[in-house]
Amino acid sequence: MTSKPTMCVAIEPDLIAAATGEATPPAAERVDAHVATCAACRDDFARYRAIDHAIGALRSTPAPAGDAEAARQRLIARLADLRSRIVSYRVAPTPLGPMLMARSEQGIALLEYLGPDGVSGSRLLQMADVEAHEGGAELESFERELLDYRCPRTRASPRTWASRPRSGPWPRPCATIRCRSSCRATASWAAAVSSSATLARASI
Amino acid sequence: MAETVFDSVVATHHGEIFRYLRRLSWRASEADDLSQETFLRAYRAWGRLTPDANVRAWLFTIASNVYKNHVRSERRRHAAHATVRATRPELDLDGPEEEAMAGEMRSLTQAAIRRLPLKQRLAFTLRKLHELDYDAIGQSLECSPESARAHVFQALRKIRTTLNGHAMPLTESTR
Repeated sequence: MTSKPTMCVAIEPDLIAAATGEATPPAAERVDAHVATCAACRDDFARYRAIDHAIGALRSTPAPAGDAEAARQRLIARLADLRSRIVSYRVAPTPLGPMLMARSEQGIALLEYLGPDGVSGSRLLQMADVEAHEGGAELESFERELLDYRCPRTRASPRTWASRPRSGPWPRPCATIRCRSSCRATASWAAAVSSSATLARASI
Repeated sequence: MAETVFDSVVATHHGEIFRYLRRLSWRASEADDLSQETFLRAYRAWGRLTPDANVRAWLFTIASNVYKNHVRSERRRHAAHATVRATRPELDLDGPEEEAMAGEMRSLTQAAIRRLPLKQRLAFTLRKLHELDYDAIGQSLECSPESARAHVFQALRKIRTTLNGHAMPLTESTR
């Protein structure tokens, strides 16, 4: 194994940068000056240039269009499937205990009062074929609709769950809430949760 | 609404991410699976992306992570045969005779890239084949831009060493 002169070792990073088009002007000048007097580094420079040239050719070689398009079509199908299963949820503290509100990408909604195990014990997380994610802004309008229902816009004060009277349970069943909701809570969720004891609790 | 925005993200970036993963894996079916995984992960995380985020760099980050996980699981599966197969690339290198040497050079370079250590291969591919800047590469690989640059340079050294002994087409620009 031959050892390179110190100067050649020191200039190698600049040499690679210069050969591959990444050197600063001062570095490129240093390399030019060095390779003019050093045959070994001149050869190195030429080899790096050849590699850079080959890489440029690879860069401009497109992947076969058919592969990419077929892959995109398969992705679109899988995204559609995911969208049918993905559900966002958030938990609101209500006078009757923490309530989980969930909404699917397709606008189907679920309300569920949580038991002592919290979210981890909810029916939503037990359901097969449902991907539940804690959501945020997308559920705000849903929560506002529920608050509007519970507390119609006759009051001037801001509506919050905490401001609900502790007495006076909700007068209409939860199913009615779902029907009133403008987010198209529909029968498919109703079917999914029809056996839910927690739904019965929500129907008070 | 979110669907429309994400659909446009898929339309804009899927081709490039697919090419990136294909360059790393060299097998279309593998790149297909990995690009799907990349975009499904991206869709799940889409709501948490800040409005000023660089979507392209973000997708490359996810794709790099998906690929790294894939390599790790493949290594576990094939621990005995650490995938040093010099798989022939699927690119069409047929061409006129005067192209033969350059074609061979491309082929050898591809094989050399494939043998690079994972992080160097990712950094090199992001920089040299997809022309991301070092900031974005650092973000993708969870390292500093300086480290990203060092990975790329190390990769070039290794490629050059791998190609030692092979004749190289010295074009005008290399003389």
